[in-house]
Amino acid sequence: MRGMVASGSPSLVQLRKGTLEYCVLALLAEEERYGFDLVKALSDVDGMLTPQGTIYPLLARLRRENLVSTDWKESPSGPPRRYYRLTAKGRRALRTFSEEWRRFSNAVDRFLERAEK
Amino acid sequence: MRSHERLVRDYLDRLERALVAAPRDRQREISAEIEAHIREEISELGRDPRDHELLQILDRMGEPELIAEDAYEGQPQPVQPRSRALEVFALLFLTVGGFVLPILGWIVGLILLWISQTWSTREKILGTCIPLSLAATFYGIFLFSVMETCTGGTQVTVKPGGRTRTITEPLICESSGLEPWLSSIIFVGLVVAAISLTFYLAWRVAHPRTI
Repeated sequence: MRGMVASGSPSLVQLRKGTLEYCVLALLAEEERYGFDLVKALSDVDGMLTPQGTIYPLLARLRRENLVSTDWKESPSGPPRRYYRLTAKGRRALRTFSEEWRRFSNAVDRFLERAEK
Repeated sequence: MRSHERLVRDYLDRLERALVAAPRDRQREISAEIEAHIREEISELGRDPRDHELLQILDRMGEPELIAEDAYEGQPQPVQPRSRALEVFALLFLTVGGFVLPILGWIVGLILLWISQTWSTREKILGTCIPLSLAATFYGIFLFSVMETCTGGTQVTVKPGGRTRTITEPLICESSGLEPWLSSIIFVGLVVAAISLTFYLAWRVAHPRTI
């Protein structure tokens, strides 16, 4: 059967799904990017984006929710590309998530450390 | 090179069909972005892709149905699908249209058939056979019924032993086409084929292909 299925435990799969949009927002916080570029950056992390095509519905949703905005720019290799960038609302959402994530992941780390002792 | 374009087009057709219940602008946005991505990935190779490379690119992009699942997020039910009026009219014109407006009705049907976004190219080719079968049947029956050769019917004057008698030879007319039973089978077959194809296309409207 074609296509890849995300690997890992079900909760890891869920975790990736839940954090993916914030990873996208974080990548856009650095600089505006176009779809293919985002896919390449995310694919560096194993299993973060599988299958690749699912980023496009996500980007469409982020645009709908006004967390990102888009712009058409000339491309060296052919037709114009759609570039994505953070809106102010997107920046705020990223900041909020960042704090929550830090608290949450620290807590999880502490529990895991206790189990390792 | 052409088979690669075919592969990409088939993939994008699948994607379009999987997205059929999403709002139209969302469909277009996602399809356009995915197509742009595929083409850019191909152009990054710097040359024509080999078959397996292209398949790998499409594999990594993912099953259209899986991608489409994410497109429906935030909607408890799929949004009302696009109106199928075009397809309904296409089927009407392809069948009875040719009898209401000879030839022209079928031409309108064919135009509607081919501009529809719902049917695949293969289905459109099958649909083109509908008016062809119907035309073959009804114009064929007409042709066969007038294609007859008749012999006889002349008056002959006979003089057996001095007496003159006029005899009219019987008029014998034969159809010069196929045997009637064979042509009936063919005509029935063509009509059955036209009806079946019509139902098949109608069924495809109600059940868009997702594979």
